[in-house]
Amino acid sequence: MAILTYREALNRAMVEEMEKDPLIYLMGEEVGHYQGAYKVSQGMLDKFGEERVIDTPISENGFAGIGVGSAMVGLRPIIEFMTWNFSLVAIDQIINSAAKMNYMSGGQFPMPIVFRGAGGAGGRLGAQHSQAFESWYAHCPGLKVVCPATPKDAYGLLKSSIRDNNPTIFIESEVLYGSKGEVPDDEYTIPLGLGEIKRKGTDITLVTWSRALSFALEAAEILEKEGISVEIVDLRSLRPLDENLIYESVKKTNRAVVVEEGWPVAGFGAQISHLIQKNAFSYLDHPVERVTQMDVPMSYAANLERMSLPNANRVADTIREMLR
Amino acid sequence: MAKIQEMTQLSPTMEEGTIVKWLKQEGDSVNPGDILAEVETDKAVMEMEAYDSGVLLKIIQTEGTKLKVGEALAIIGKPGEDISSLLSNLPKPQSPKNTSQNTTSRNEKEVPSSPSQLPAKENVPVEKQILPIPSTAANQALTKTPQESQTKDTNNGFTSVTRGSLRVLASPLAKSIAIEHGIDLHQVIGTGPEGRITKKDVLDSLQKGPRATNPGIVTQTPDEVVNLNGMRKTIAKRLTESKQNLPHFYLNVDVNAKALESFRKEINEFQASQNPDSAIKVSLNDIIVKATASALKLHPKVNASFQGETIVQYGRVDVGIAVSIDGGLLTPVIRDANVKSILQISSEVKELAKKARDRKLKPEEFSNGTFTISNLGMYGISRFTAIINEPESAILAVGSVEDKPVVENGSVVAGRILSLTLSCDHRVIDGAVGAEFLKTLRSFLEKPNLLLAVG
Repeated sequence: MAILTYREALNRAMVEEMEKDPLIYLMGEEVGHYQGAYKVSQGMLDKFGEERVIDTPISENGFAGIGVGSAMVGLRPIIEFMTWNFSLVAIDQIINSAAKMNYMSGGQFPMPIVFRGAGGAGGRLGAQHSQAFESWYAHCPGLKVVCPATPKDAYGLLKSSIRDNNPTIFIESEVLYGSKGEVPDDEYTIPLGLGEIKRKGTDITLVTWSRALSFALEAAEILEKEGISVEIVDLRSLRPLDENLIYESVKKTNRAVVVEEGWPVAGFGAQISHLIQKNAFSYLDHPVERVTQMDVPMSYAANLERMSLPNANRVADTIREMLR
Repeated sequence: MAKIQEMTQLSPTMEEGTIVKWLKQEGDSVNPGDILAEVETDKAVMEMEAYDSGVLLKIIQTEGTKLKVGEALAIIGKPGEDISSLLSNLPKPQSPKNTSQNTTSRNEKEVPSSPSQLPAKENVPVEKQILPIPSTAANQALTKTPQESQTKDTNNGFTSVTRGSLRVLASPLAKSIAIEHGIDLHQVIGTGPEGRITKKDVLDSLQKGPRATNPGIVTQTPDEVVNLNGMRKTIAKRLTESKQNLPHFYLNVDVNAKALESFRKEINEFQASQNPDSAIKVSLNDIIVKATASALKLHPKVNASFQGETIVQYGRVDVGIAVSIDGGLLTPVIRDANVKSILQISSEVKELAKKARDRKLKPEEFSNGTFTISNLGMYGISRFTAIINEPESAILAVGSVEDKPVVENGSVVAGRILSLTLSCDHRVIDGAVGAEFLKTLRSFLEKPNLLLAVG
């Protein structure tokens, strides 16, 4: 069992899949000669050449559209956005073409495309470069939305996303690229729509994904010293969603809090809390709570950025209040 | 033209009233001023008069129902008049009605959300509800439904409560556990946010009773749950506010009661010689009322009320006397007690106390005092502190007269000692002011003949 960083795990997943299937190619800004803006595609240009690892100009709408077209004629593109903030330039291609092509063609055009890149706040990148967009894409039927929180999950989920014949929004957390974790040496995949209990507990169910898992785990450590036992459900993908895993946990703990990096209004946590109250109503002993980013554009200043994002103390305070 | 008779405001503080008894029945003819029903307010049972003449066509609310002031009670009109449109325009009751006379049929699809929502037996006032207790382990389901729980139909001042008329705040989980175990959520105290009943509260209430260590022993006394009547609620609200908001301090003084006791004896002997058949027996408290009122007249700063930006020093001296009645207490007021004779005070106190106990006291007889006396001497209490009766600024707590050694001229002799404690609102009364008042009062009690010198 090797210890890999999150970026190495992603790299390994892409390399293995591209070695298996010549139809897969990687395209985006700086993916080739620069070895990836975040070095995720390190060594891939040398390995697969310029036909399969393609550097593009700054033209998200263009290369995302090319990706969609190539998928319609049988290729399996991996489109890298330098960050998901720039995907907004290509959102017409993603929402209006990629997400709907299979549906509108009556199944004649499957869309085996992966859009991937860095999401969330990175650290002093300002309001335009520090946004968590998973709720935006999860809103649209036709897309799968994947948000891995660990190297092990990143590897298994990216392999499943590449093999999936539907358009997949694969959001990597910018601050997690350097994080390390155990990744089994043998090849494996993690099915999309399968969450994981990252920590067992009895008093409250904490539902989270991606970077917010780190706040959750830290909060659980703090609370354990106070005798509060937190169960952490890492969804891993928002679409498809492992609803039953959430309900099973809530039925056991009778309380739920959703922790997410994004903004509160119409965030994905709102959908989760709706589902919990609808499908586990009789098991709830407290209203479902949420911990989110503050409802403001991200500040540039480091101290204000820290205050804006959720953190372990805010999570712990919310849970204490719920268990008072 | 038929008219709706509404719940009238029968006292200045009345917000809602409970119908105790209908004195007129449907079909009876009524005239303005006729007593329609007896209504329990927050302080007393009062008579509600009719405003219109005609026939009592419809009793909308049955005995035991609690209503806000202004809500419809009954309809008065001409015999045989069609009142269907009047009835249909009334706001729909919030809960299933437990009355056979109810014409609105309950929505058949209504699913009871908890056992407490199940329709109770027709017209059974639930006075005290007994919480069933599991005979063995807490997780054993209870088979008793609330309808089977005992009800006592006493009339001791506890308000009847119509089942299911209160909205219970409980978490969905707490509700489902309560249904499973047949627990009435009305009897569970919620500790969650806004008093919401949580799973823990329901489980706690399940375990409330001592668990039988030996399943063969089932002689447990179940807990009794007593619903608050209007008076209890008022006591709880007003005294909590007073104790929380008024900066109380206490002054205690021991009074030599020898002269007071012989003074009382003289009065009663005189009375007996005047009217051998119908002598009023004056109590020590009657003399204390007179003495206190006289002292208050001399110390207007104590006979006062804090009014936010101002302090009102009353020109009148109206002394309230705390009277214990079944289920609570009332403070009938002796108006202008400083100018009344002790005998007059004595007969007024007796009359008002009886009215209080019969729950016939009118609001004007128990409100707008300027000072209150609370006497627990007859219970053998040596001394205690009382909570000020807002908006007054002080209350006198009177203990019993006790045999105690006292020092007179350097030697210890047997004494008769009466202990007084004055609770003061420090916003109005400073320590020295309260002390001066007590000094005067003590003089009057130790030398009762001085009472002749003042008005």
